[in-house]
Amino acid sequence: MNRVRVIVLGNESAGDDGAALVACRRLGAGLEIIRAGRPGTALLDLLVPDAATVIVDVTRGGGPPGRITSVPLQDLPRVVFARSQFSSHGFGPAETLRLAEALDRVLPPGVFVGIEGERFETGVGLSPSVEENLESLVAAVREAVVRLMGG
Amino acid sequence: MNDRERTYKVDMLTRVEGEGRFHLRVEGGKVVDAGLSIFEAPRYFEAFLRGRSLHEVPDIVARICGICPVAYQMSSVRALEGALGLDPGEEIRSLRRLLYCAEWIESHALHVFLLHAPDFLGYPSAVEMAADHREVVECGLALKKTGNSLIEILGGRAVHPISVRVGGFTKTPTTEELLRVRPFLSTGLQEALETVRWAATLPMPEFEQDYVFVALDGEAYPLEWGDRVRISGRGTYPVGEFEQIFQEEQVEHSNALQCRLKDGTPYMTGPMARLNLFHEKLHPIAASALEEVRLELPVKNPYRSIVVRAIEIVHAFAEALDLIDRYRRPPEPYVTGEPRDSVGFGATEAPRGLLYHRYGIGGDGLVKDARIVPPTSQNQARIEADLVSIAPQLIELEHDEATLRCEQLIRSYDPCISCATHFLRLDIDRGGGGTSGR
Repeated sequence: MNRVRVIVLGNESAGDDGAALVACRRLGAGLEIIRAGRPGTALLDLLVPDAATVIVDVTRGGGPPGRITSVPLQDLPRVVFARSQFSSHGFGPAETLRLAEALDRVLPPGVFVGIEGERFETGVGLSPSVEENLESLVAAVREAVVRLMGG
Repeated sequence: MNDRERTYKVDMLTRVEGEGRFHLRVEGGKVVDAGLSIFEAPRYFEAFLRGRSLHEVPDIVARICGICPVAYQMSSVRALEGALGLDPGEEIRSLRRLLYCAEWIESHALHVFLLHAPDFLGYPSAVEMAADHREVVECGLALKKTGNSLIEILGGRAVHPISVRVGGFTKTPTTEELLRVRPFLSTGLQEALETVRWAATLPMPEFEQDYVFVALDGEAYPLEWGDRVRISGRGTYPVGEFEQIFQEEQVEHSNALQCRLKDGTPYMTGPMARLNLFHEKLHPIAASALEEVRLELPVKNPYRSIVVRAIEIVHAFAEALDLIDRYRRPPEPYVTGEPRDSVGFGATEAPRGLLYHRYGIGGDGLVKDARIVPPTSQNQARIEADLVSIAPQLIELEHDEATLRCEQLIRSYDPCISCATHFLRLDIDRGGGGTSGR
């Protein structure tokens, strides 16, 4: 597939929840990047059949802060994080994709790429462990894009 | 009912902005202690805003909530324009009302179909409900998508709009851009009317209270503009006197401040308050829907809020169509004014109710202090009072059913804490050393 969309989730006013948004500013030009915030079920409207998709977000799996996770999109609904994904009113990316499955919606091919966060209090700024792993997140997103484009 | 002591302790699980827990202790069939504890995230934003430029405020406060960012932006610009002595003009006001209609549509649709409907149809979540009631879920998603599309046209982005600014908008839409979404609004209106008919058939728990209702008082149905606040049975007051009329206080069992009238009376703000106080200002199509389903006024059963929200979705679609048909693009997208040492107040009606903002700004244009009182914090005391009042019903029910009755009641208020499925864990101490819970 020669069209790849990168959907970036998060809230830069909530500590590490802004990590994906910060990192994806380093992706550079030439990519279709949608900075979607915390869209809840509106994420479904961004998943189009003719665009392979990379969803980038912060995870709260209880693992070491800064750890990079990569999961095929179709597997995301079954991945259980120690705490639920960030959501706006109950519909984070995993819950939204579970809803899509229940509705027999066809999901595009794609990958979820996440970075484990540590602190999520109101405020701007990332924790050191997350900050020092942002380049790894960017590299993981670039690798996912290349693979989806058939490279 | 026996006279054993029963303790209901509810630990809230959360996947949302807030955390909360509930406890209820009953002795001899009477509630002797009750508390609803909620963490209030927006309070930190008040400190966060100090020292920021007033022009940054709409963008920052939009991030308090991903479902109602427009509400925070609207209350903020209203307050800041008051501080600057700015009047944005009729065309800008109309655009803001249109943007707010869009947010009501997407927020109410999310709540009615995906958050509240599962309670009435007997499902733990919308995901499980989708398997048996796909058309219900798809209808909700379609209505929400229409609302989000209109927000995107007006706000530049569907979530956390970027075009709202003090004085107006960074960019206003052309008539052609608005007319492109008109067919979807027209279809949505018809689906919204069906939603009212459907919601009116849902099984309703019996529970009524004599509420004090609070809503914004302006020329039209409460939404984006109003200079006064109406309190049922007590009159109207200027928005600028909000902090003299309403009292926020710290309670021992909660991290959040609870808001009551100065005499300690809890109150309700939101769709039921708006409808009960201002139903005569409903759009005629929404008024006709209200009449068709014979919803008795005043609405005093909080579970019926799902019907009220459905009526407000009709109202929002109908108003949006009218606003688009009357639209005149403003000659300038925004007006400007010089900052001065001043204080401004603003209140608008978020989907969940009255949202009050107050800002003190300096002559340098920086925020000196801020006060944000969301509708959810205003409803906390009333939710707590409702849970105390419904306790006699809970004691007679099995544990699972009692838990659902509590959750369904709290979700009737559409608070930010209610979105998670199974956010309540109800522990029942039945005495004799046995405890059941989940």
